Amino acid sequence: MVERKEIELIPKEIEAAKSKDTLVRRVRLFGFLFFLVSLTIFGGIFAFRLSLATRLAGLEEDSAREVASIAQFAEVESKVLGLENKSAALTKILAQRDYFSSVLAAVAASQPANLKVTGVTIQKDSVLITINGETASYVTLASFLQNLVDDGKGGKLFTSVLLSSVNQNNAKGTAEFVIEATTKKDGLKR
Amino acid sequence: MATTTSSFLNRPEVRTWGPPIALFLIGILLVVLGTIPSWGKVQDLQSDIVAEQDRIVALNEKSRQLLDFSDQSIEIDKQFTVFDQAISSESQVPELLTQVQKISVACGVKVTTLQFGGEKEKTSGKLQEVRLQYASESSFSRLTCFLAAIEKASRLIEMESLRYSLSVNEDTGAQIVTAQSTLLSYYTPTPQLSPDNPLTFSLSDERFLKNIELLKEFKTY
Repeated sequence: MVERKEIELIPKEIEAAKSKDTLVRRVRLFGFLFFLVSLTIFGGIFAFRLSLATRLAGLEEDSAREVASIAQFAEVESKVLGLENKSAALTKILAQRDYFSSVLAAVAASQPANLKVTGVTIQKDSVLITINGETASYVTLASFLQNLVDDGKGGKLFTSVLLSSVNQNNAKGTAEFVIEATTKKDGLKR
Repeated sequence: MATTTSSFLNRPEVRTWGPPIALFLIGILLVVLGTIPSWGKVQDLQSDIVAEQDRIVALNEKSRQLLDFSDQSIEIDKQFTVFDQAISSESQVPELLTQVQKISVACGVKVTTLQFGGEKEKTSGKLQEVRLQYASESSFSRLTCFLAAIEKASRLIEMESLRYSLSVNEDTGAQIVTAQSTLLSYYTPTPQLSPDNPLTFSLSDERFLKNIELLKEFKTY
């Protein structure tokens, strides 16, 4: 019995020691390999980063050369940009411009002989034109109102007219009137 | 203290487990403090490189365009002068007074008031407005002439408002048309040059060519 016990105990201790030794070796191997892999990845990425930084620096030098080359043409660029701005602005300004001379032309074309236009008020982007005047005859005033919307006269520009006031001036023997004429939409534009 | 440290390091479990755990921890530190931030930097650098390459292509194209324009500098100078008469540069804004005066004189209109009346920015700083307060005395036909001349002047001048009234000089019996108007003109400030701003202008642009033809119809004062 004694012999059997001794025979059973010795292999178990050796086995435990061996398995611990194996575990220690595995842990050491894992630790070393993990460190090695981490170091390799870090080194690789660091080297890649350095190469990218070098490449970027080279590209920035190329850009700086191009910028310097462009700077030589500063005067030409300034004129080209100026031309571009002015041309774009010209198109816009002419498209938005109101031609006030067409109002005077339409009023003059509608004006009967015995009627005097004493004032006109025009505002940009407004369809309402105020016309002041005086006449000795209501028939002439009616004719003027009719002419303002007549297609062959002021009707080319005005769509409607409103006689907003008439005052009899006994001293002069005339009727002083105020007309509010409405132009076509964008009627003052060309 | 040194003895304590030495005795700690000489302990069998430390000698057994210490090196692999230390290497593992160092590996973790390398990943956390070195690899991950470096990877972020690498991605930034890669996008910077792509952006820089695109920039070089754009700069190269702009440089080529400017070289072309430089070869056509005589034509550019000529057209710039023409367009500068229509919409002046900032330095020529005061000439507006002289031009309005000349137009008035050409139509026989007597100017009674002519003064600048404030500025207002328009269309994102590329175009600026300048206003003039204008008053005059003349006849109806001369005022009509003035309006037509303003509308056909090479310097673009708009009328923002017009109010005229007719009065009779009691001594002479002559009719006088008194006009009051706000005139609006424009100028372009000196362009801000930036190498990264692309050039989109072309001398053969259809709208530009149309504008050249339009300006030929205008009269220079």
